[in-house]
Parts: sequence; C-alpha cells; structure tokens
Amino acid sequence: MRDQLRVLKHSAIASWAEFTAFYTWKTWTFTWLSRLLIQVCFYALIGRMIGSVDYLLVGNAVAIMAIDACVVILLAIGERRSGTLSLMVAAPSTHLTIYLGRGLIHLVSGVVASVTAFLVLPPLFGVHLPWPQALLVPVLITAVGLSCYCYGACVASFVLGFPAARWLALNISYLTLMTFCGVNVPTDFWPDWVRRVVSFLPMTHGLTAMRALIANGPASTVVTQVVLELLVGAAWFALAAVGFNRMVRRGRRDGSIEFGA
Amino acid sequence: MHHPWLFAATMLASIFAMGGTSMLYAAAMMLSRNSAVYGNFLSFPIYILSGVMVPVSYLPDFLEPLSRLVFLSWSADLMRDSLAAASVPNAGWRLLVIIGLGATGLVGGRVLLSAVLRRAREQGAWTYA
Repeated sequence: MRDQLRVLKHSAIASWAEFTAFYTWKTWTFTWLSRLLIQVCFYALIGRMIGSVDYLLVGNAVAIMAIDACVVILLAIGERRSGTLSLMVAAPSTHLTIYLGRGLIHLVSGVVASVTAFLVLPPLFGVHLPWPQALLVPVLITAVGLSCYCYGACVASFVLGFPAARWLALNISYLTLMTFCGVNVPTDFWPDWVRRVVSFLPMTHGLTAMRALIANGPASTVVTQVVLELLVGAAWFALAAVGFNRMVRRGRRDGSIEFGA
Repeated sequence: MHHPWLFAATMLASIFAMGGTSMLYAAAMMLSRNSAVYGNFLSFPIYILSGVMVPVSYLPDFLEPLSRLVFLSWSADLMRDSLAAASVPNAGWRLLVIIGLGATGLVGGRVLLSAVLRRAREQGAWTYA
C-alpha cells in the first residue's frame, strides 16, 4: 500500500509538471478558468431567458468540473503513447496506480474552477446560496469530481486500444453527463429507461444533493445522494481497474505493449 | 422564409466575414507557442457576444456595444429578420457592416500575419516541428 501511494505521488507530480508546462497561472486563469466561467454564464443567460436561471446556473457550475475530470482520458492515452506501459508492467507497482494519478491535477483544477463558479457567479445572476450550508458546496463538488474522475478513468481504460478516438471519447463522455444527468433539464424529462441508466452515471446523485442543499432541502436527502454518488464513483473505479487489467493482459498475450507510439 | 434572397446574401456575407475573422485570429494565435488554449477560450465569449442563442438585450449594458463588433451578431439579427414576414429595415447597410467587419478582419489578419512572419524570420524562430 505504501509503495502504491509513493507511485501515486510521483504520478501526480508528473501530472503537475506536465500541467505547469502547458499552463502558467495566468494562462490557466485567463483562458481556462475564465472560459469555464463564461460557459456557465452562457447557460445561465439561457436560463434567464427561459425563467430558469437557478437551475441552469447550478447545473453548469457543477458540470464544468466534469470536463476537467474527464481529461484523464487524454492523459492516460498520452501516457501509453509515450511508451511507458512496458516499463510499468515490469515495475513493482501496478499500472493502474500510475494511470489514475495522471489526471489528478486536472481533477483539482476542475474542483477549483467549479468552486470559483459558485463563489463568483450566483451574485451576478441574483441567485441566493443559503448560508452556512453553502460552505458544504466544495465538499459536494469534490465528491462529484471524484466520481467523474473514476468514470473518466474507466472510459480511458477502454479507449486505450483506440488512441485515435481519444478526443471523441472525451467529448462524448462529458457531454453525456451534461445532457442526461440533470445539468440543463431534470432527469424526469427523460424516459424511464434512460433515467434508470442515468442513475448509474456520475453527477446525477451529486447534482441532486447540490440542488437539495441549495434549496434548503432535508439533510438526509443530501447525505443519501452524496453517498450514492460516491458508490457510483466506486463502481466506475472498479470497472476502470478491470479495464486497465484487461488491456495489459491482452497486451501481454498478443505482444501489443509497445515502447512508443 | 419570407426573404430568401436576403437570407442567402447574409449567408454568403457571413461566410466571407468568418474567413476574414479567422484570418485575424489565426495570425494572432501564431504569436503564442500555446495557441490551443487561446483558441479554446474564444468559443463561448463569441457565442455570448453574437447573440446567437441568447438575445444581446439579456447581456449587461456595457457588453452590448462590444457585441456590435462581432460580425455574427449582425448576421444572426439579419437572418432572423429575413425569416419574418415584415420588411427588413436597412438590409443593405447591415449586409455592408457584415462585409466590412469581415474585410477589416482580413486586412488586419494579413498585416498581422506579415508582421509575425517577418519577426520570426528576423529572430530565426522557424522550426521544422
């Protein structure tokens, strides 16, 4: 376990080095963070037009976190393309730890962006956040973020064999969440069978908890929905582990683990 | 559609303006080694300022003049008007504004591109990859 944590730490450090090579704090703030905030504003303006500003603002302030969390798909595939998989297979740790650590900094970036959206945008659109319950917003966002991250890792594990499809997989992954999980329309809008499927997707329960928290709903609803969100995340984590292991087993069998791509 | 010719003319003018504006953006992006982040940033501000999804009247007052500098706001308004039965006021002038904004982008982009290329040659900043 200690070894795994050490490897996870180094994977996260590599992720940080890559992140800071791509972004400075200025470019992150003025291009990425502001881009996400403007995206939330865009949907909140649509909400203002149709008389549903609270719903769309809250939904999209949470949803922007999913975009960052799902970036793990690109990073995991980038890791394989850089030719490190063969070395990982020979290493004392599992490849799963390394792949899971690769996108952690983007998860943090997403949580910071989402919390910033909740701090800055509600007053601009006249949306009231209840106090002191609003202090729990970062906690709920982190729970949703972890769940979305595990979902992204699972998608990554299945897309690793098709690196050319990584951008498609990323876009479909987070757009699926934004479409069906109650971000812009309630899940009740969809047919029953879609709703049943959606209850196994990340963000559905976390967003329900967030809306209940903001509407001063019962604490039991908030807690139940957060627990469900974390359980959904754990299930996606288990699927991700299976997916990564399956990819390595297949690679060993057919010799497709390469030193570079 | 009540004014199909106007709609078609607006579409053509918009395509021209899109090309001109893209030229300006492309030249500006060449100034950075990390142009992808700037390109990614631009989409939603343009969606908002153009009033394509949400009318510009829903924006704060200080943003409305800025939206008039985005050719897409003129294009969207003119296309919407060309779908309505009422006669379209100042259609010719509005078409000219779209073309003018596109031409401004094209000329500005060309000048900027020349400057960027000249600077790269002078600094020996060209690489093969």
